[in-house]
Amino acid sequence: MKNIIYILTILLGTSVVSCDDYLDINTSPNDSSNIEPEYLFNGAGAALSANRNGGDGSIPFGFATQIWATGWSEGWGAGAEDTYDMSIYTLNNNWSGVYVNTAKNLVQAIKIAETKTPAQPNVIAQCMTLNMLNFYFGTTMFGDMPFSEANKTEISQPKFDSQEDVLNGIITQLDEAIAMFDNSSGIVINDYYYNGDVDKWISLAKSIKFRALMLMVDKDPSKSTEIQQMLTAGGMISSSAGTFGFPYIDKTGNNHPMAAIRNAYYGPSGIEDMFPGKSLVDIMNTYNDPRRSVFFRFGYTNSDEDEYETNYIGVVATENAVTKEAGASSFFNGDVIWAGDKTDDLFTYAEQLLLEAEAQARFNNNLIAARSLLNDALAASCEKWGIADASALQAEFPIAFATKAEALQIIYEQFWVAQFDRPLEAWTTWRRSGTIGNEIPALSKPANAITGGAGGEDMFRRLVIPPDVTAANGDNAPDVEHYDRMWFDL
Amino acid sequence: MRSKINGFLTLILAFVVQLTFAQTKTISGKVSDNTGPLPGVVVLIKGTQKGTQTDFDGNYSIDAKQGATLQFSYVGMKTTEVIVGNTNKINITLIEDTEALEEVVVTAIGITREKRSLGYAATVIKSEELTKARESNIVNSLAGKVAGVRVTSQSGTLGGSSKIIIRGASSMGGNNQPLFVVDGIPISNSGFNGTRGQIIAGGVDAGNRASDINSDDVETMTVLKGAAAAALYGARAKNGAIIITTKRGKKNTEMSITVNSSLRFDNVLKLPEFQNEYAQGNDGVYDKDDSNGWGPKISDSQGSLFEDYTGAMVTLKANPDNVKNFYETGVSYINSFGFAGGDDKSDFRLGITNFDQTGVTPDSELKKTTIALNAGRDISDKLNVRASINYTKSNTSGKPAQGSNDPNVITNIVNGLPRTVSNSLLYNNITDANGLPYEVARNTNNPYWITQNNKWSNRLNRIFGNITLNYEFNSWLSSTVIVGNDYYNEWRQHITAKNTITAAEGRFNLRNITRNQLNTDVMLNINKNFNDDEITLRAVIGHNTNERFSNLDYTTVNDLVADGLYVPQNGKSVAANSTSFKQRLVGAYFNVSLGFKDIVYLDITGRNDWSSTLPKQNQSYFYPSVSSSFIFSKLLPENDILSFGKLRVNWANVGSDTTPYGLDFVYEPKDTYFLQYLGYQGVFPHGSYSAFQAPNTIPSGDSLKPQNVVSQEIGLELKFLQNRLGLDFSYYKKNTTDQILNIAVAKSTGFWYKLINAGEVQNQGIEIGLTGTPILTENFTWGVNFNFSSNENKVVELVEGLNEYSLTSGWSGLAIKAAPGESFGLYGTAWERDPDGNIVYDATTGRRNIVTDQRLGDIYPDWTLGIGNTIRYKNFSMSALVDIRQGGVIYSATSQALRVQGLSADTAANRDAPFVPEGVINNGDGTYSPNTTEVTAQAFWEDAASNSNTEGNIYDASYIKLREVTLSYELPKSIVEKTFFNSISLGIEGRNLWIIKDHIPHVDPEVNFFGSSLTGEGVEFQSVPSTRSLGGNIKLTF
Repeated sequence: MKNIIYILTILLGTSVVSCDDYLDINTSPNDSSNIEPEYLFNGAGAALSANRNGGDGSIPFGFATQIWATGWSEGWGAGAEDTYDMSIYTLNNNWSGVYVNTAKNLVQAIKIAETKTPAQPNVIAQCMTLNMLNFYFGTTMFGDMPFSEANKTEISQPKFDSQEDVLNGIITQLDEAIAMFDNSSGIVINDYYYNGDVDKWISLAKSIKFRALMLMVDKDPSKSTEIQQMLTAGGMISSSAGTFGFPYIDKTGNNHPMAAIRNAYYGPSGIEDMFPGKSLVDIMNTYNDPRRSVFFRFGYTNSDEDEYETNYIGVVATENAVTKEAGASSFFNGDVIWAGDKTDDLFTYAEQLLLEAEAQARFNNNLIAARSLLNDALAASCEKWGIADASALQAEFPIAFATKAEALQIIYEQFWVAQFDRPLEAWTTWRRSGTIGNEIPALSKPANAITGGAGGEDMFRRLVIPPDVTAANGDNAPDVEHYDRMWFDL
Repeated sequence: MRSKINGFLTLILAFVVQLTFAQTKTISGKVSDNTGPLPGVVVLIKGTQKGTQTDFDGNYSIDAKQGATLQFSYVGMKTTEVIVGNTNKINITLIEDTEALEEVVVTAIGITREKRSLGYAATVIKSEELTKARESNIVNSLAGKVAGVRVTSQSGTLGGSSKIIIRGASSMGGNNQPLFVVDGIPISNSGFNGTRGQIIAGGVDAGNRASDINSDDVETMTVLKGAAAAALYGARAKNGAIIITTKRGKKNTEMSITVNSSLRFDNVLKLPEFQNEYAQGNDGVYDKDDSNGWGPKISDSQGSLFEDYTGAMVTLKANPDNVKNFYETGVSYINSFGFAGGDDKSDFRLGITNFDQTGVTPDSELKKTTIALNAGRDISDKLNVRASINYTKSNTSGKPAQGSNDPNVITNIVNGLPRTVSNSLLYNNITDANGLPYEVARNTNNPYWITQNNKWSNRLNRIFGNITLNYEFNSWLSSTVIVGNDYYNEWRQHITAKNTITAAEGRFNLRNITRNQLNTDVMLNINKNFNDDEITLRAVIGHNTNERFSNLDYTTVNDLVADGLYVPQNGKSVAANSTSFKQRLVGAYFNVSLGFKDIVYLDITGRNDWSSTLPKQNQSYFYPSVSSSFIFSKLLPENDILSFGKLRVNWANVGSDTTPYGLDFVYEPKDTYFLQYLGYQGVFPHGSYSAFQAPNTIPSGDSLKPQNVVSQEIGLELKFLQNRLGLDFSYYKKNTTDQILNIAVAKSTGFWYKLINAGEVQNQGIEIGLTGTPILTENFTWGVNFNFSSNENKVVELVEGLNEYSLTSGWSGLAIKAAPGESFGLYGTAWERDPDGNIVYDATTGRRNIVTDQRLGDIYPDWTLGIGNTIRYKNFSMSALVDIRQGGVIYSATSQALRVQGLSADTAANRDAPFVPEGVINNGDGTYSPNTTEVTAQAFWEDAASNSNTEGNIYDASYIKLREVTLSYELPKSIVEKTFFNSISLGIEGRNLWIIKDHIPHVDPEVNFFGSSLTGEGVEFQSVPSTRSLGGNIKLTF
């Protein structure tokens, strides 16, 4: 009896004594508390491009802007995005793409980098620059959004900042990053885009700032001063090598999201049911654009699919594509424009040149410079698509712009062409290309689209705030419709 | 229960008091109880020594004077007296004396207690109840049988999961499932089914692991409903506990063999109502690529030929049964063998059950074998050893995917079939001449391609059991040591074959799940009576350790090289991750139970836990409970009206911990990233670039405290008229505070959730159990019971600054949320209405206006009621159980899709010409005028049933169901005696036979898409239809 009680006491005693160690097992074996910033940067960058290029940040905008067309009765997305009926997933994924997948990881990477000795100014500046590009895309989708209070663990319901404040905030942080980049510091993220080339990063930061200013200037004309200064100072992206792109790899799991979608939905043979919009093809036809043979394929005129239409023909939004008869609509040339190793161009040299051309025409009244920059932009775009000689295309345009209006008409049309594979950017340029009803190219609301506001104010102008966001942060979220114009959009 | 041996002893005894001489009149008759004739009943003439006893067939004969009183007595039965009248024949049925029976209940930590002494509600379900109509999932056999216990099954999926909620859901974050304990050892009832996203996107109803318990091996199942009942289990039993005791052999018995065989057929209980007038297309124009019913009227199109999906030119024809014919009749074979026996020192029982089932969806099957061994031996006078081991092997193949965003979601395809597509066309035209699958409509696979090629399979091996040592130091002091372990490994594979439409390159994923739970208890038991047994003392002091470990390996493989080969090395892209979790709990506890004269009992428990999952400073927490029972009928004079009366009252406090690793801010290595339309197909490393990500939940840091439940209960048990009428009433209130929650934060924080202590949820309710035996005669007994329960679930408070909390959200703004002052509810977009409740339309578009984020109803019922009837006539017995649910709402995605697609019967109206939907238009000045905008039927339904308009797809979830019917026949002894069997019984069993009444079209209101692993309820999302089962059963004992 005594023995047994003794043994029990020992048993109980042992477990109590060793309790502390026994219970000290709450450190996750699945995660790390100590990680280099570059790995968070890598995750953020891949997520940003994943969101931009697939079913959330690309296809919906392609159809809603009419730069792509569904072909209606045959096509993918018909009656949905092409009628402005955005899926809840598109709204949610684009929103959480900005904050959860990209910004959070960059902010955390900055936090880690800030604790390092020796200091890592380049790492911090790289993260800031990428994050500001991320927010630039974010605000062009949603308008007002949390910025100053976003991505802070201590604020559960960040306030929404006006788009003006967001864009000014982006510019401020880009200025900080530009000032922070330090060629003398050897520590840098050997990134996907520039492999750690600090000079290229500085140029990129300046270009993003320039793009933000160009977005703001219609609403806030005072920005023209800084635009003029930046034009003079230069130092922005100045060659095709400066194009800021996420390199996809032609390998399952690492390939371009549009290539992966095509493989999954159509198989490698690549049947297409996305069509180029009439607005796009018509512009290119006007200038006999050699890029057409890269972007498009002729439609079939017979049911055996061995005879082809000989003209490039675009499709009007929410109207039936013409198939297997004369006048057949053209297809996108998916094998090329959505090749597995197609780069996600977050900022191209051609766009930089077009921005500069626009700025020269608008703020310096320098139509000669604008015309010259247009040529450079056309060459850069052709080069990107594998067309070495752009001279024929360049010759399609007037030798000199007669008026500023003519210059801008052509420049905005060429933005439309140059950005057709990144519909979000094309849409943003279109929205700022003219006052309401005067945008370039001229578009009208598709026949079947959801009607919105009064008069002509019913084009697709923004993503609405996702229901999840309204639910979690409802008091702060603005009540907006897809036809409500953003701050920058006059 | 009385045994044959008892009867035999009484028989011998009776010879001693054999009547010596006869009087004027010979009375004869038969004595029985509610199971049949009763041998060995002592029949005495009151006030004399004269008596006899009944023979093996319950017959007796005795000489008595008219006016004398015959007294019938038998162990465990109420002694009954009858005055001899004119008749010479007196048949009598004895009823059980529940008081005398001293029904024992296995309570927390395996402590057995007399039921009368319990200060809390405990319901015991016996083995006969469980095997009457055998269920593949033991959880389902509780449906409708226990007040306060609500069971919902996720779907009609083969081996699908069932969720059990006791006295309302108390936790906002995650698990509301009770603790399952088998022979004193907690076991896993994991309903793990992937993440919320994985469940929604083509998830499979993988089942809940309590279904590994075989009902043939269960002796009793005790439902401990309140926190007081389960206080000794602490944290893990905060939602109640299901205590299962497996069958044992008996000492000193020859080996008996029981064979129980069932053959069962399952078919689909409820299918959608379809229109059969319109073909696929748009605006009345045929299009073979549409999976809908917005095309031309079939009867108007008979003069033309149309291309079907195979390219053939055909005349359109409706196939009203194309969906019905897709589903098959599932067949189950259940064969169970039980071997039991024992000598003077040992007992054993071995149970082997084989379960072989095919499902209602084609090409699905489940094979399950369970082996249960329970053996005990007295090593010495003082030391007893017992071991119980249960082994389950279960293989499933062909479980259908549910939800959306996956090519394999069967119900979506099948329900969406154009009415012109016949089942035989589909079955005979799966692939074209090149062996490639036909696209039956745009981006839609042939369902037979899916069932034949894209299988979900699993293989489970599980072993759980325990070894118990019991040492008696002396007559009042003993010690018990229980060591138990529950281990399982489950391998899952989900295939999407090459050439599948929308996944042409093929893909598959593999999950390897391992779980282990090691539990030890060391107890010192005191069992002593004082003061001539007037005061009883029972006390337990114990120590518990519990360790839970799980590991999940998840591999996704994309783009297959060779067709039909499902090994990772056959993929062009492979992503693999592995996560493991371990948590430990150490507890010290006591339980003191004092009884006074069998009238008043007082129980006090206390437990202190130390949990590895909480911050160091909050790791230790203590919680007490007090309960008392007062058998007031003991104080009343003996009477014919009230036979038993007991008042019980209790108060308990239970603390609980959380899941591991929630405290620190850590970074997770990334193996994949999300791509819309493709799922997690993007893979790291990207070239040479590897990636990490910050967590999606803001960790709690060191501030996290244990969550706390305070529960109070008062109950009354009454039995009237010699136990022929019984009432069991409970009122309880349960408040859960300091909930450990992942509250949703605005995504603009960069996070989804934040782990904090927050909020208070209150559940209060009543339970009424009513049993009655309206008819009780020798050959005919009718018993009836009612189980009523009503629970009010209310969120008392949330976190400051948070006016609602999202428990689970799905898609399209649909969410299940908690808001202060409300019960858990379904939220989503609602129609804008004018002050009179009319729906407001947009004058230009003819569409309905919506308002987002509105409360659309409660997910939980107002009340539930189970009505059971048992009828016995001679050797026949029959039982029927009706299950009623009143209140709550359900969202139906099946109904939503059918309407948008123009396939449900109600969409056939208004097709000939545009019409004006009833409603109003906002004039913009605060007034409303009637809607005048015409829309087509297609435009109307595409708007009114759109998946972004939640309200359009919400229904009342009330129902009345015929849950269970059994009919059994015990062969008479006279026949059985001529065979070598001891007993033979035959039965017919039916489950989920009939939805007597419901308020939702197309689907069973009971299905719960979220399964047992998520808090959500009230959502049906392309779930596999629930099934109706009908079967036969034969039970033999040797």
